[in-house]
Amino acid sequence: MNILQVNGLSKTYGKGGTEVKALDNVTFGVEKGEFVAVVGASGSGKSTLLHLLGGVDRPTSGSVLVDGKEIYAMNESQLAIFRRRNVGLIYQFYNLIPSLTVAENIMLPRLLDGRKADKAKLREILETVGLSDRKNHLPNQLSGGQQQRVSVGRALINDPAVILADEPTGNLDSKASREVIELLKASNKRYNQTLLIITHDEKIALQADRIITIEDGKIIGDEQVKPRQGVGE
Amino acid sequence: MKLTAKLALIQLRENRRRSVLTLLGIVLSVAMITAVFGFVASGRGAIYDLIIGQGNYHVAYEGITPEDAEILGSNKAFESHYTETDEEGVLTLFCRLAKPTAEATEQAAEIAKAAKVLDSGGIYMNRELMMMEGYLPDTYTGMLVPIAAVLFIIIIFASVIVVSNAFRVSAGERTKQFGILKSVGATSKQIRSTVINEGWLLAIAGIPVGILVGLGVEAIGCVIANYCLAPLNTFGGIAIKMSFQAPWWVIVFAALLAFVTIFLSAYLPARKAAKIPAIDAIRGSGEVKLKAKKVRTAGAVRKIFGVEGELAQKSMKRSRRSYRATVIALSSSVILFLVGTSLGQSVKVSVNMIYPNIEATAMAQISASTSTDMEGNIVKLVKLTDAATARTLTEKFRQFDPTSSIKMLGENSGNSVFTVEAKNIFTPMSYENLTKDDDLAVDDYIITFKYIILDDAFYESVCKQAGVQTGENILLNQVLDRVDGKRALFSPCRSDINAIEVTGKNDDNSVFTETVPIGGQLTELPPELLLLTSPYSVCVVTPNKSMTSVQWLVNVEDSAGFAEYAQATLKNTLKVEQTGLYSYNASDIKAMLAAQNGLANLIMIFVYGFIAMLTLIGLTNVISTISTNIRLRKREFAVLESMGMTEKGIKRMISYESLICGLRSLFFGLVLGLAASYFIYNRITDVLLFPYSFPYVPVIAAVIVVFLVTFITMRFSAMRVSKGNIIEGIRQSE
Repeated sequence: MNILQVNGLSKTYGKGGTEVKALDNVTFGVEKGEFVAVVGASGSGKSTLLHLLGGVDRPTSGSVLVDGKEIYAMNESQLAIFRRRNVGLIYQFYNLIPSLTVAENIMLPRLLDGRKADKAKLREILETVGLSDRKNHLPNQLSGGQQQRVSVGRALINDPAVILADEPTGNLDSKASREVIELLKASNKRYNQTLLIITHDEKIALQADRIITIEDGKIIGDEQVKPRQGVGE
Repeated sequence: MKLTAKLALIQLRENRRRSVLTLLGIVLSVAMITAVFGFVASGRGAIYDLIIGQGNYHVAYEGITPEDAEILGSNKAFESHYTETDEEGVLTLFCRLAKPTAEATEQAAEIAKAAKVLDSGGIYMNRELMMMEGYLPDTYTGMLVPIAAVLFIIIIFASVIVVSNAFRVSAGERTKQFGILKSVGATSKQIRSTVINEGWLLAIAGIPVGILVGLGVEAIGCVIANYCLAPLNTFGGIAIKMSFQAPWWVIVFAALLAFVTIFLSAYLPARKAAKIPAIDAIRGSGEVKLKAKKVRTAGAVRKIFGVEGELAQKSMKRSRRSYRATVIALSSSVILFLVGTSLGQSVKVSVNMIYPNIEATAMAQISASTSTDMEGNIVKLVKLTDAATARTLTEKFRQFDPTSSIKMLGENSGNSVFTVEAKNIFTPMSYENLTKDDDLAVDDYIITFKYIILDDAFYESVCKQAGVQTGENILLNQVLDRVDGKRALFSPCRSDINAIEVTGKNDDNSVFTETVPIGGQLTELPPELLLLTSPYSVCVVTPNKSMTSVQWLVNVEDSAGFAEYAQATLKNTLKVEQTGLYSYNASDIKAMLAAQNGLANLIMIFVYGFIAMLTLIGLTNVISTISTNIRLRKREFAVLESMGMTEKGIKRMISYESLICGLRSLFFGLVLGLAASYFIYNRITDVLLFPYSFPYVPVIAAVIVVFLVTFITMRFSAMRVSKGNIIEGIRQSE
């Protein structure tokens, strides 16, 4: 079964003459543990797609099923709870909470869920993202790459069904970009974490298992780049 | 219009809500300054009118001959003059000096000497008027200076905080905009100019409105003040009336102060904003400079208030400065409120202290005149009131209104004074208390002795209470005094006294002693008698003795009518030719208390008005701080939401922030306010003794008001945050 299933998803902005179809009847599925890159020109609708998958926006029509659950049948509160448990979001501009330390930022989704801070899990994630020695720093004391690694850590803490990353390297230099992508790939491999990345960067896209190309709100290409690990073709 | 001015105007229009709040802050602080100083000017004017009403002169020559008065009056050294002749035919010349100096009396004497007036009579100066006109150091104002200074500092502080906070937030919020302006070639000067122009625009709009509002408040204040002062006017025949005054200096001062505040408030953050490098400003990385230690929170917070509470506390710590302004504004309101109410309460209590628990609406009194020797010692009491005369007077007073209750309290403290040796009468403890502060204390410490003479009915009731037969002497063994800094009632005399040795002086100054047998003691005194006892004297109630002074405490419906009637009765009964031997008077206690209560009310109203304005400023500040903060943190909220925080959770987080703000204000306000009010209590009780009562009502009121303010801001903030969706929030700063 697909961990993520999108059926006839459409999103329209504006009305009448100014109507813009950001997403036009998109259908696809993602299997658990898959690493998918979504590419497309600016304004092609890829960010809209990501937001709809993450449950932070609402579609005009169509449905999104995560782990078999129809997310847009939920009300706002249920959706918020769904987000915190099943989706890890990574943004281009990190979007860390400036008054929280690295450790606190990573732990935040877990705390929001009313769960106890899991020290072992935190230590493991800090090690994974390579920030063990900076866990008590505030975001403004970190470089851009480090901040993005914190936000990756934050996305991983709740073992979400899917991680959605919106241009995670768009604001980083090439060295930091490489580090973040390696980190995402590692988590994909180590935890069999499903990963969906929006990117402009062809090099990054080529590291994915599968590349979906979007243009004018439609999927114009969906190719398997390499065989999935463990599945093997 | 210059570009920078245009940008400023656009900025104000864009952020309409914040502009309105800032404008409100400016209007309020200008209004407060105008109203307070205008009110002071009006009050001063009222006092000046009062003093002028009693005589428009600097110096007076009392007992001058008409001829000399004419010579002096026409002297060029005087601006104006008039004469008055009193009942006894004594002529007094009143003059206004053309060039008064502090030594007006000497000045007047010299003028008389120069004009060859030999007997210029007794010269005295009108100190009050000289003070009001500034020729003498003003002791009245001198007393008010500390109070005025405190109010002044609070006003300035509050207005600077509210205005500067608004501008600081405005500049901080626009850091990114400044960065963009810079990157397209705007100089630091141009950026400063934009923010400063914003300040000017607000000043031009806010200051005139503020002055008008302030004058309006002052006018209302004058009407209320006159209403409160009315009893004072009917009581003493004093015509004190507040007339609305708006002196130019008040307006100029208020406007100038607001201008300076606005300018500095606009300039400092603008300079800071202009200094941030363009790219940092665009990235928004220049605004938050934090250290982890600063935002560390206690673990208990998370346990009690959840992660929302912890986040709230952290974000408050982050923007400590904006919240500090709010906390200061709110807590100073609380402090002022507590100080003001306790001050008003003290005034009221001290008014009632004059006749505590005594149901008297009017009083009459006679005291014997005394003649003194060169050293000021009393050598002879000229005339005593005998018991029969006193009884006659009591009867006559009763005739005015048979339903009235009258209590007569007479005293005989002897020619010069009666004395007794304290050691013989006092308990060892109270003897030690009495002598411990006295360096000269010797074994034979002497205190005064007084006979107390009461009307028959009162005397009988006292005898009954003491358990003795009528005709016996009763020792009054209870006084009100401060013991170890606390006010207390206690019995200073031993309980086994049968007789007291009293030493007195005869008319010819020879000394005699007499033994006063004591039939019983009274250790719980009725309030009227408690007025007579003191720790430095011994009082014994005795029947039928002549008195050195008498007072009648009368409870009568028509107190004003009684006062008039009693005055006439005293004059007729004591015979005109004898009046020089007595001093007597009757007064309307009810009217006097009403007048004093009016004064106390006036203070309260003034204090409340002031607090209301300050609270309003505080509220404006809270709302503006929180709402701007929420705008600034829109992205942060959106991120939290995208991570799965519910809208309810976000609202709760903001509510916690308001709550922490309110609690902190309340904490500082209550602690400092209670300390200040206790300090005031201590200062007042140096003079008057009354117990400290914890101001429950004001404290509860302060708590309720602060929570109300907090609640309003919570609602307000929550309202603001529920608009807009997550994506827009996140995108806002990208």
